[in-house]
Amino acid sequence: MTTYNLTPTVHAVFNELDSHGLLLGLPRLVGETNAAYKQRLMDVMVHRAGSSYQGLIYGITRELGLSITDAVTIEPVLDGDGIPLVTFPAVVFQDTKCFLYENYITETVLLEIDRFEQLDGSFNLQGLVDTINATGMYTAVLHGNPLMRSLCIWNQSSVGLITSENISNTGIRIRLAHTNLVPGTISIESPNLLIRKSSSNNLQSQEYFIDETSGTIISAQVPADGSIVRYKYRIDSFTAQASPIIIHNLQSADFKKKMFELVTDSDGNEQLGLPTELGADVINELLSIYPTNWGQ
Amino acid sequence: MKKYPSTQEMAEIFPSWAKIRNDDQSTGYSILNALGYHIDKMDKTLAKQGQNTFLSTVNLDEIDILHKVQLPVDFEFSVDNTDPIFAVQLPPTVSGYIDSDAYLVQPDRTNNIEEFWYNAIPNRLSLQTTVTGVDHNLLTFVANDSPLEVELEHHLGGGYFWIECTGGSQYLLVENGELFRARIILRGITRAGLEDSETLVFPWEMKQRSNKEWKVITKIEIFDMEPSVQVNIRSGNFNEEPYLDQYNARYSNNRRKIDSFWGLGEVEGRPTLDLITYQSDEWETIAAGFPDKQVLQSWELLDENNLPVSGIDLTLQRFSERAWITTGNGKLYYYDLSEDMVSGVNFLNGKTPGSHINLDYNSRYLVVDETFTFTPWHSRPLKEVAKYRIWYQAPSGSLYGIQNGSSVATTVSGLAVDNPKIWVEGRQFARTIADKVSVQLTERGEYFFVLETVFIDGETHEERVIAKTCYKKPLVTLDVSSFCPEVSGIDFDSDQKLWLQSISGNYYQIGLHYDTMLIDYTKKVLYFREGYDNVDVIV
Repeated sequence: MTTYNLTPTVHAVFNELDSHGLLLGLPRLVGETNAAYKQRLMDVMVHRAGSSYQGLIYGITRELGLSITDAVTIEPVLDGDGIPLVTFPAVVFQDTKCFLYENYITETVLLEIDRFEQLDGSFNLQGLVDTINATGMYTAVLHGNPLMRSLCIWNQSSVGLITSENISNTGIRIRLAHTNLVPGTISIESPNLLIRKSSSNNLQSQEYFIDETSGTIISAQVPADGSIVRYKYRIDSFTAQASPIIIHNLQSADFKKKMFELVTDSDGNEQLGLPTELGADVINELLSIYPTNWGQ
Repeated sequence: MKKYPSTQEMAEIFPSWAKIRNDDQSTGYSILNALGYHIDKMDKTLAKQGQNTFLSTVNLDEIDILHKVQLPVDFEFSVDNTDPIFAVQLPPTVSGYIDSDAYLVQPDRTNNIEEFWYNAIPNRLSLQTTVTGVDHNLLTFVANDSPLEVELEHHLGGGYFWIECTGGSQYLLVENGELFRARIILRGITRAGLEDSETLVFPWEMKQRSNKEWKVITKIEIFDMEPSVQVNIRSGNFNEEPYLDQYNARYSNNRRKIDSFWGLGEVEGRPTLDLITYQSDEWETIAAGFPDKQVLQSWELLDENNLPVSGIDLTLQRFSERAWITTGNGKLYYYDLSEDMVSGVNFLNGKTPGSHINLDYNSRYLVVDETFTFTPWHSRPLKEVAKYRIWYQAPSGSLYGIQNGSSVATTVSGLAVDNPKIWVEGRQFARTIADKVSVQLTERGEYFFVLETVFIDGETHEERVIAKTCYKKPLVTLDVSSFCPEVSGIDFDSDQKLWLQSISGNYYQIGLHYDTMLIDYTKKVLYFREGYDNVDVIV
């Protein structure tokens, strides 16, 4: 009697889901089950991949079998009348920072949070939530893994952009799809009627008035065919999403400072030096996925 | 032999009076049923492939990931040389190890993919996930409350919703030549994260599954439905019998496609599995406000030791004819839902072709302790009956005669069939040869009933009928009492994963495991369903 001790290997059998995968350009990962593969395939239609910043995050996240998750929900604290304590609240995640605004219109920042520095207290999601809650002006609720790096939240903000909303033939009192419009970001394109913006709703011919809070446009005439409006609006209950895939622009001055030590050259200008601890960590992580020779 | 729904569909070719169409014990029906196997397989394959065409309906139980080991080049299978002409290679003894736990891996009996994967029976289970603090029962309201702004989150984070409408009288209305259909529109965020909507049409009172997988429903709108109709929204299908058959391929003998359902019931105090249909096979009648259902056939539910299984809920496995039934004490039973042809074909051979007599009955597929009631009937009264006798054979082989052709269900044990006491003499020309006879069927299996009639010209006709007490025994029984001792319901989720709900309201995802292997004797490869850390192959 002979005993052979052997280690099994995964063997995938091509089935109908793989056919769908061929059509959608998304092959099955090694050892991926039908149920998990189906969700990734469905995701192709929702989180469209592309060469844009967002498209890269969506595409790479999916192709690696990782997932996009809701990280935190951030809301401004309101007074007794339901008015935010800050003048015009907004939350912006940009590069290595998270900005909490006191007044987004005047670009007055309440707090700038560094998400890269391990010792700054906002390196992980739990720390980020605690930091935001400590302001007293905003509240944050954690959804994801509290130990997830907060830099997994990609560039996004609580200010939404509508590039083209049709207002043709919608009457003289036009309710837009969103409220709390950001003043100074609203532009109207109308073939013949809406030409001048009025500061009050006492309108003359071809004038219009905008009530930003209620998202209403009052016009002297009904907008003609082809009338559109472009604007930004505030999302007061903002849920930031995160992905384990973090994309940063190496040309970003802010990001470079996090990755490399700054050295002052003979002219007094700051130049990039050796990788920082974090930079070395990220570089090693990259090399572990795709080994190569540094510098080649 | 299994009885296939497609057999009835084929039998519909024949006229409505033909025995082949109305009697599943007729010779013609048996012949068609032999073809039925292949047509049924084709029907189901086409149905499955049709659903596999779309991502939203694809079968997630399709064979996907196997684990294999390549045996060494010098490995030789043991050989059985019992047949000197054809030597048979024998499967090796294999043990698989997961976290140092050893599992004996059985070779698949037929060594083909269909049995290894699609028809496999799990031999053990494990607890995968426990979900607490959520509820799949989400909302109940009346149609008049529509539209509703809601926040109905799927209790598992995403999947199908179930919508049930009850209490209405008519859901389809034609007014001034225009058709109004009761509709429910769901809006919300799909499981994939997309804002979307879905319209469900309710032709009559029914329960429907959403076609899309939803994460959260945010708005419900109802149109053209009676205001008093009660609408129930759930994200699971626990304890909501009856359940629509997975292939739903049955036909009535009026050439009409019918919906069939499965549920749990009780007959003569015995727990049963019930095949259920609408009382009418005409959708027009159902839509007119008559959606009542009836039990078409019942099977007594038994365990391996012939003890009754008192199921509290069942769930049907997608793309299969199998169901999991759970009992309150933490047992899971896996049953095959197939219907069977009668097996006593040799007995039926003794029937007189074109007989002038028959047994008139309502149902002959019963449950133990039910009474088989029939009337001996002179269906073609061309000549007088001189004498007749009625006798039957129980599944145990015992023969019984109906004494004096009595109208009372008096069976006399121990009478030989030839015993003159059971012959009833006397010329008669009535359509009813004897009064109604009732026989309580106390054994499990097939009863052979015979009506023998001698006509005045000496010609003898025999009518033979098999009455059957139906039962089902499980393919496998698994125990979940270690982590869920008090089960209250069972369901498959949209990922085709099995879930249990406990009385305390917790949800448990069950992992089913198959310690089985497929062997490629030529290439010396073993394929497993389970991902073992390593295996010992002993030869």
